[in-house]
Amino acid sequence: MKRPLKWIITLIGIVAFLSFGGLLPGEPLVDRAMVVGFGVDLTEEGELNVSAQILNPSPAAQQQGIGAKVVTARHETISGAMTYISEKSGKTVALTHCNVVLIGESVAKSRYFYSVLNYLITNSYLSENAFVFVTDGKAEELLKSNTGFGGNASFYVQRLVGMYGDYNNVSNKTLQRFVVDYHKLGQANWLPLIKTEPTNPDVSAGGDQSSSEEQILFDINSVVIFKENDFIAEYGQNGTEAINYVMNKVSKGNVETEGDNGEKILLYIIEKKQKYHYDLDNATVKVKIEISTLLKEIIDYSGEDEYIDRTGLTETELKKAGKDIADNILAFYAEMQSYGVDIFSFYEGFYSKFGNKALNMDIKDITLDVEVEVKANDV
Amino acid sequence: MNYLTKTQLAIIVFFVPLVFKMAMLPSLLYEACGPDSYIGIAMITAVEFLQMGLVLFVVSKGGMEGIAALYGKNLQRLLAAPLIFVMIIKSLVFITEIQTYVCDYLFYNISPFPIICAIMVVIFYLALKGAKTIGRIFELSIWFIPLIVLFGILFGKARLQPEYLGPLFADGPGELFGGLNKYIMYTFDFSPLLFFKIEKGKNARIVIASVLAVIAVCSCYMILIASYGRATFLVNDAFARLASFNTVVSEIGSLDWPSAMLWLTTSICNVALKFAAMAEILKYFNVKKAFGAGSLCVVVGGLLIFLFRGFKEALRLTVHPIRFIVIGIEIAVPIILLILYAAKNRKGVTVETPA
Repeated sequence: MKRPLKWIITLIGIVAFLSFGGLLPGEPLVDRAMVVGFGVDLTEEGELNVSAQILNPSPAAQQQGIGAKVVTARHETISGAMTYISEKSGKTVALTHCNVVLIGESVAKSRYFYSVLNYLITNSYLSENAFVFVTDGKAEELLKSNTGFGGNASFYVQRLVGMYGDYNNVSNKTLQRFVVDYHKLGQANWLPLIKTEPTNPDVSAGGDQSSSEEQILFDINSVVIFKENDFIAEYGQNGTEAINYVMNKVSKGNVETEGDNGEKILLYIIEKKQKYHYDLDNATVKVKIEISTLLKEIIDYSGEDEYIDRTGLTETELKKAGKDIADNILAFYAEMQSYGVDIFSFYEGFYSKFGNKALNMDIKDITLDVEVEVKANDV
Repeated sequence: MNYLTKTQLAIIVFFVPLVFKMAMLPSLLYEACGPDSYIGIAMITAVEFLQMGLVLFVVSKGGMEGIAALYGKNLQRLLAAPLIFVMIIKSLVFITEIQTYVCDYLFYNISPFPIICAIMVVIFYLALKGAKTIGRIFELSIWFIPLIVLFGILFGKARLQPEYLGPLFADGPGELFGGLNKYIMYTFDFSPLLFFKIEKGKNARIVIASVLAVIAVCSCYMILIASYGRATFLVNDAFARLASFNTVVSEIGSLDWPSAMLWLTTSICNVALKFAAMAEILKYFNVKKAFGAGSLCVVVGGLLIFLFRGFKEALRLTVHPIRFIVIGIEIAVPIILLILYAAKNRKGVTVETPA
């Protein structure tokens, strides 16, 4: 057969397949329960309470958010609960588009935290790039909450992470990263903690409140620390910043400092780099962090306005900004040492460089030396 | 029908040692020998190309076809027949990987039976059409690579931790060689080329393809270990996981579809090469090509459906001592052919090699 003829026949085949492919037997999309958010809580009876936020294109009597419904089910296993959810919804539950996994506080503080997550890890239909969060309270309540933005809880939290993912004070972690950290030496791990805060309901065009139902905003500035399966502690923004500055990518965020004369100064981060140096003999890790910023704002509350008409910072002001960040990191590390948690993966760093000689180190003996240099570009 | 151009051969030389080393093997090898696995796999892939060089040299002298002219059909049959055993064993392992990839990764809760049937039908067709068609498909598939690279650059996110790549040989090289020994079944796959005719010409493209294959497989292992660290043993399909480029699925759809298409195409073509070679061997025993290829597909399909159900069963075959017989035959046959050709050359007898 001549080649042009082969090309024509192939093209006809492709067009026919695209046009008439829908006639092939298969499961229509409307019969699949597309789960966009997934929550797990532990009941007092020791069962798992699984909540799935399902996209619901058709109108329903009780909707939460834009075309989404939260269906819950209880079972001793996640898989069993998902089967019940399928039965209740009359659709096949599909996790392929689920990008948010919420772990309730009750599960996070239980001894079998990882074994509960293990199903999600081995279930290849849930993307390992899904974000995992611990919720302050029940995951089910958070999924059902009337969010101030985003349409529903799952889309809202994805939007927060998508926009603010690289901020210095926002924490986010994927399932993949969680699993990697669970298996590293020392098995220290952390997960972002979602807290909620109420906000005013939407106001209609006429000026009246369109709904009396309170709306919720999410705060993802906090972290929860684990060692293997044990819940260690919860930390606010300071902990999040310490972890992000030492270990994660930071390309946005604010650095606040005080001027030489008490002014409030705000710098905006545009880049962060870090270098590690491991000294086995002295059991010391030196971390050098370089933060490039833009000077955004100077406010002088003294009322004298003497020191604000400037476009640069003094060396002492920059050094103070760096020292504040370094002190925060050191304070956080000292607390982690007291718990015996290698939060910054120093065991892996030492083992990678020195091999078996570094295998039996104790985190309490490892000294951290942090040097933070803040550079500010003029506005 | 069984003629390969130099370009097609170069592409086959690139893909054949790569395809099944980048699926389930990385996690298995990591479990066996730790972070040293990327060094080990680069070494063994480089050694494989020695076999390839030998095979191509023998092919240039006439391949398995030429032996009949020099020594008679009986010797040809004697040398070729063990390769059927080798290729069936390897096909069982490799087709199980393809089936596992389709059932576990691409689809949701499906039985392997229809997948195996679909795979065997495609393999039968390709084996019947011969090396020329398979080579052409390889040639077209290579265009997925720039698409994958482009997707990765535009949308991918890298989260690599190089400290997981060390330390090298922390417990000595013994563990590494032990691991390579355990999974040696995944190596030395060039014997099907003995049954095909190859265009004459310079070998620069083949050398380049060989080097790129070693670099590609080593890089894949390094990126995997740097991404997953000590959890690498949990990654049951390395290429599929890396192909998602750490992106969230909902934003632009799944990024891994070109990788899925590339891997599926090249893996099936890799196995089809074996079946095409086996069909040629059966022709030496006066079995018609269609009947031979069909029978082999039925036998292998039957074994997969009734005996080797799932990857765990195939894994038992992979690590079974039978692997030494398989690899022994793979390596020995080209050497024997070389000796036979050399012996005739000394006597001034040559085979008319095709243009």
